[in-house]
Amino acid sequence: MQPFQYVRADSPDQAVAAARGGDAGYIAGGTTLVDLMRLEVMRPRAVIDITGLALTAIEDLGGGAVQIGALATNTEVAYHPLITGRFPALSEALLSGASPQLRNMATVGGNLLQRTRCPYFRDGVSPCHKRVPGSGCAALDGYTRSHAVLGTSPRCIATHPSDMCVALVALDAIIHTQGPQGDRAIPIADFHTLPGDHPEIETVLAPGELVTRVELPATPFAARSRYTKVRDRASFSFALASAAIALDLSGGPGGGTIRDARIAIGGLATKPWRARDAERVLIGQPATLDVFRRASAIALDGAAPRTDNAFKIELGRRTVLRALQRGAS
Amino acid sequence: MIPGPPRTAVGTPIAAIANAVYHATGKRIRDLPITLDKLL
Repeated sequence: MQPFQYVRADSPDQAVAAARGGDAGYIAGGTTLVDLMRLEVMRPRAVIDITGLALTAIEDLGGGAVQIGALATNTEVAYHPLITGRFPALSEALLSGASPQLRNMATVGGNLLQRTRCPYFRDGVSPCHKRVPGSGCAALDGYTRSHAVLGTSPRCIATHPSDMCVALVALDAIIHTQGPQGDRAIPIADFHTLPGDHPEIETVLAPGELVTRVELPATPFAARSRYTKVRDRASFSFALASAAIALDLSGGPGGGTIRDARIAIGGLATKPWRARDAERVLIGQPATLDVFRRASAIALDGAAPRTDNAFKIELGRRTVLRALQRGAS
Repeated sequence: MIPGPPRTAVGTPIAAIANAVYHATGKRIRDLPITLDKLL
């Protein structure tokens, strides 16, 4: 591990001020940052400890909305009655990820900034534009079973690994931050960036900008939201394909018209992916298997496979279909 | 080096798992590992 400066912050203001020198990393649960620093994939000049900040609360904002502090752990969020009752997809997504030990440490803010599991990024030696811009991409012609088919670029096909972020996309979450330029609110769909020519940039956060809380707005579809994850093992495994869906139905379970819908896809894309065209197929239609099939059939449109991941396109469609069926039942 | 007879323990569970996969999905997988993409 490279030597680094350690700073403990007592307030968000202090944390943001400490990051002003540039090349700083915030540390909370440490489940991503410590791993990647040991691998020397990340080499921050300064590590700013934010575990002392008062950002752990999960609060009812009234009217059905909920706010989650950036330092709330995955476990706290997943089992909180405000989340299990109003935003079940978020609870399901969190509980499908990692292991209990990791979920007890990992925080919501860190989960938003999870780095890819692409082995060529993590090995520290392969050409990788994300790790060393301009060095190349070993994944393009490498073993691509775990890689993305949506949102890829000629410079990067690394999959975004988060389960939580996929659920947040289906729930229209808003990310609140504090930075050198003040506070701002970023819709989750705009928070992560596509790799394009700059895979090393993964979010719209400015250097030193700190995620402070995540807002879950009241929506008519959040209560009927589900997260379905398909992977090689039943637990402690990243998604080969996952889908978060949310439905606003006019009738009771298994019937009625779809008034509004959200479909988000994970394990298949370079950022948490929203399938807007597939959503449009659902809206105004009856909640039947046939309609769900038509929507899932186009949910992966635009996918570009490499050598080993073409099967994930059909897998993705079926995962969306399964999630929609679960949501309607 | 394991002598002959104990090695029967290596092949038997693989066949049993492959049979279980066939029973569950109707697909006969004849090469290992049995991964999800072969069952689509």
